[in-house]
Amino acid sequence: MTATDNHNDCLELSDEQLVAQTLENRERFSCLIRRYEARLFRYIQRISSLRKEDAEDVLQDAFISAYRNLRDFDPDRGKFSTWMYRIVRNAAISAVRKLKVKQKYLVPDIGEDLMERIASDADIARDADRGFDSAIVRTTLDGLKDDQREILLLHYLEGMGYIEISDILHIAPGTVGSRLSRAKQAFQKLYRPDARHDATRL
Amino acid sequence: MSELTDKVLNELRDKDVRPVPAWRFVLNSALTWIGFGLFVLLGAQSVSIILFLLSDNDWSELGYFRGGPIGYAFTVLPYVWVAALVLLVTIAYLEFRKTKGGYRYRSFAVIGAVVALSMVAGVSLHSAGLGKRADAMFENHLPQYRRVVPRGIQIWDRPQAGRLVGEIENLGEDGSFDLVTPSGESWTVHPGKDHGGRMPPAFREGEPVRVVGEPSGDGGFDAKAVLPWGPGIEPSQRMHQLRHNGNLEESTDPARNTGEGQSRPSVHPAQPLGRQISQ
Repeated sequence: MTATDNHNDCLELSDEQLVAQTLENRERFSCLIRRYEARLFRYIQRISSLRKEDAEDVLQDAFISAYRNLRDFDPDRGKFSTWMYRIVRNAAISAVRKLKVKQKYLVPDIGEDLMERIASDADIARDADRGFDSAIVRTTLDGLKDDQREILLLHYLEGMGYIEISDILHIAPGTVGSRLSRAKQAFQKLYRPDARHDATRL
Repeated sequence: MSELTDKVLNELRDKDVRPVPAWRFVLNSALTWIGFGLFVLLGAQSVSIILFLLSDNDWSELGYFRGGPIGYAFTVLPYVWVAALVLLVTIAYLEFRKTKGGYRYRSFAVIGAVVALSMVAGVSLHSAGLGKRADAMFENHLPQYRRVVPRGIQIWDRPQAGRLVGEIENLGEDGSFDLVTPSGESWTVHPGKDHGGRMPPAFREGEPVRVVGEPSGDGGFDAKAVLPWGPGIEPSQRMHQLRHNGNLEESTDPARNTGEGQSRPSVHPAQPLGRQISQ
């Protein structure tokens, strides 16, 4: 079987099927790695200020840790994706501590539509002409507390629901709701539409 | 195949990394649940001891305490066991949070459930007499136990708080009498005007009584009420032993009791506040 055949075969299978196959055949883990590496790499960059090389190392360690603990994954308790996010998050936090890098959430270039979602959901874009600027939104996000910024990123950038965020952060779904609500309020309070457009880009 | 995929798979091959066996996760999970259950059980045992110590008081006389029922409750509350309960509930909560899916429940809901479980199980243990047995066990094996968990005599042997306990000696015709406390102090008790009807039925020399009132200086004590012995304060032989032998740290093994078939509290000397009895 060629690499391409193998990859095409992966696309048709669910995460749970691939996990079961990986437990039988280690090589099948490549399907899961390919499926998630890009998303998880972006996530590491968003929640830490690690250099690209360090972020790659973190992701590699996270995948190895995931393989080692694969039998701990329980499909009845959540998705494989959230299980992987949890592992990656823990690995990133450990790396930040180990490397003594000041943890800083980065909001890289993201689509205007996502910025719009954050702003409109926080009732910022109330003007008919949607006069908000992605640079200001980015600066506003940077001014939030870490836990508020993280929950906004997970909800709006990673597209996670309450249960998924609950599984990643290990907090109650109700707490996710209240924390998200507070984060949006804080965002609304900090957002200054008339702020200078040359705000520091991250 | 991506570069990362190659790196990960090569490391898995080179180091022969294998998935951890499922039984280790099952064992880990089981140990967490066992830890949770154990701390809930210990919390329940604390509740049973608290219930025993609270029930082992004469609640019918709480009106004589400063501060009324609340003051009485605060006086007899076994703070050490309450603190132990708080600690055990906290540990049980943390254990629960470590279980799979434990994080999905709100903290107050988990703590409320742990407290409720401890209460229900604690009432059952108390009903089965385990609170009393545990209290006696601690008393017998920890010499300092009664200092930190006062009961009966210790609670009543506090003249400055308006409470006295002891045995009547030198009963006078005017109703005054000398009271010898377990600490070996002698107080001259002057029953006040409103003590009528509050005298114990057998009011005679050698009778053990409790007195509520105020110290009046020079070893005198103005009594508001003279009460018979109540629950948790066994009249005693034990007190005689203390007075005559001066052995305050003697064991109080329930098996050695005579008469009442109840355990006797150990008694520790307080600072002399009244006249010292001459041996």
